[in-house]
Amino acid sequence: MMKCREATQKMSEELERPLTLGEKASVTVHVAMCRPCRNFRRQAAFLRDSMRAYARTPEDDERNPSQ
Amino acid sequence: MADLDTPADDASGAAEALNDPQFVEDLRRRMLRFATLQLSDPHLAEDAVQEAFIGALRGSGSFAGRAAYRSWVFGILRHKIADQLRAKTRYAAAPVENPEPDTMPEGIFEPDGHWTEGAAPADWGDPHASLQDDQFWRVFEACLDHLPGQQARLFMMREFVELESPEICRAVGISTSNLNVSLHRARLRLRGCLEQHWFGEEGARP
Repeated sequence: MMKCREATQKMSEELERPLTLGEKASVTVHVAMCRPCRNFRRQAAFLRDSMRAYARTPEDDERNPSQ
Repeated sequence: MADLDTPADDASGAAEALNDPQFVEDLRRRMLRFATLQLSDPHLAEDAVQEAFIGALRGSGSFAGRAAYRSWVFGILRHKIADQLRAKTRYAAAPVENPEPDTMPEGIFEPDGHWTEGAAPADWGDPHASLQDDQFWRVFEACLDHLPGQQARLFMMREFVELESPEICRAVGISTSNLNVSLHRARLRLRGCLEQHWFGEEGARP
């Protein structure tokens, strides 16, 4: 059974690459039974959202500010 | 050229922001710290920051307030850093950084791999609502500043400059598994810091 340390490593890596089917299954089973790891998964995604929101106005994607 | 002429009302937001020396100095210092960390070269960093300020003046943006101006200038800097880092990856011999000791933050996991009692992530409710809160961003910046240098650098390269993993590995000269280990630790630290100072029961979230 995968432990929280390893599960969070996989959940971090899933933001970098597609997990293998085996990895995905292990993570899915782990988070189904572990509330803190479910929270970690949402929070890691939120960190990505917030870091990208840090310097981005709604118009940013429509314009090219480096011009 | 016509597209360099900035209409007066568009310039007013930038002009208003630039008229506040304290605001400009704080913003410049933060941008310089970010650029220096990313580029590992104070002179290139200084140039990139100045170009970003100039670019913001020439751009077609209209700014509703300082937060939008800060966002705009930082966004331009982000593009410049991305270009420079990508250019760097074209040279075969990317310098291998002195790897600083990058340890698993203490007190997060028990030796058996389970969360320690104090470190288990809590439910943050709807965290995205905080993105509209200036106070949240101050906490967020402080938490970023508390990451170890190399973790901060790699995390921001990935999530802010938005380079892909292979680009980062080439630019910095590290392996994919090292990058993944650092990103995991950065995420653990950053979420722990945000929970302690903002989202948690003792945090500052209103």
